[in-house]
Parts: sequence; C-alpha cells; structure tokens
Amino acid sequence: MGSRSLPGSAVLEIILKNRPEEKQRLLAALESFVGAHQLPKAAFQAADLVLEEHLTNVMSYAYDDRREHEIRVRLEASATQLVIEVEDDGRAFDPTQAPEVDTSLPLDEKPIGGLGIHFIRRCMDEVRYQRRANRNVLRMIKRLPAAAP
Amino acid sequence: MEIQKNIAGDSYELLVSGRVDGEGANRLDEGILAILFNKNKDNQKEPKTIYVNLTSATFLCSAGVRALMQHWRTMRNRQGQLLVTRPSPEAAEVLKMAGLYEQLVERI
Repeated sequence: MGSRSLPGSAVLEIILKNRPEEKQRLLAALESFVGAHQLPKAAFQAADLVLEEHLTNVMSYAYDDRREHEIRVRLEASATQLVIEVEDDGRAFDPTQAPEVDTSLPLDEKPIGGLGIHFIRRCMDEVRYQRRANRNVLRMIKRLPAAAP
Repeated sequence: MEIQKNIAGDSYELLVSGRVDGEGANRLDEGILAILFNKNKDNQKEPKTIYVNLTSATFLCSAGVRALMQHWRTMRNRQGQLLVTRPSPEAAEVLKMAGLYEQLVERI
C-alpha cells in the first residue's frame, strides 16, 4: 500500500452488542477504516485476527447472564502505530496473565485451548489489561512500518 | 464461508473458501464430522485421508485451528490422517504461529 494520509491520528469507535453476528459489522468498519487511512495489509490482518479472538472470548465467557451487553471497540491509527482498545462489562479477566502455549510440542501433545490469546500476543507488539470501573479494558498496540515517501 | 466436498475412494477433500472465523469453524467441524460419521451414506467408504484445502481461506482463527487439531487426532486414532493442503498466506501464517504448519500441512 502507498504512503499513509495521517497527519495526526484517525479514530474509529464502534459499540457492539454481545452477539456473534455483530463481528460482521465490526469487520466492515475495520475494512473501511484501514482502506481510508491506507494502513498496511499486515496491520489489517493482525487487527482482524486479534479482534475475532478477543471478542469471541468476551462474548462466550465474560457474562454470567443472558442480558444484552455493550462492548466498546476503539481503533486509533497514527503514522507509527495502530492502537486497538476493547472495553466490556463482563466479569474480570486479564488475558495477559494466561499461561503461554508451548507451540513446540508435537501435535498429539499440544493443548487444544489457549491459542486465541497466543495469537493476540504474537500479532501485537504490546498488550495491556486494566480493570477500570468494573470494566475490562484490553489495549493492544501494533507498530507500523515507516510509510513509503 | 463455503465448503465443497470431493471424494475419490477413501480420500476426501474439503475445499474451504472464505473466512474460517467462529461461525466458519463450526461449519468446518460439521463438514469433517459428516465425513467421519456418515461413511455408509451413498456408499461412501470409511475415510483414510481427509484433505482440508485452504487455498481460498481468507481468514483462519483459533476456533478453526482447534477443529483441525481435534480431527487430526481423531483420524490418527483411526489409523488415517488429516492434512491441510495449499494454505493461503493468511491461513499459513496462523498455522505457523500455532506451531502446526510442519505437522498439518501436506508437503508437495
């Protein structure tokens, strides 16, 4: 992709309901955001994967009731990085404390679970968690390569 | 996501196209289960090899990887095999991150 048109930073904020089909709406918004700001394909792929993994975890395991909840997703792109923040009101869960997956094990000994968080760690340069006002806030940062002049 | 099935004797190929996200992973799982447990339907033979062709998979998440791992084990227990063939760059990258590329992807 060509040089980025980001003199400052660009922000996308979207509120999702805790329903799996809401991820399609987010994907469409992400595609538009990445296209509009000419972000690298690798950044799009990383964002797509980590959002799928984290939102699946939130929607599947964060809530103790069957009520509708809102999940706030915020993306901020600058010339040097893409910041993704996901905030939910589910039960406290810090994915950065999840044990590392040993990917060197042979397939028949490899644990089946834990890969989603492993992918988040591998795709992002920084992953930070905060519990703020009874909400989980996961902040993920992907550094961007210098744009072509 | 769409899945097309090809059968040649006891070899089965699933051609997967589109996004293997959470929903896609469920469909992939169902597609493999249909091969594993419907062997007598339409005179189908017991599967010896299942090929999952990911050439046209534009996205692969951990749920899809989990389905592949589970059924790799099922096939191994049946003295058969499950192999991923021709993964797209997106799918290949995810399989490499999971440390599964060398064991799951067919060498040509």
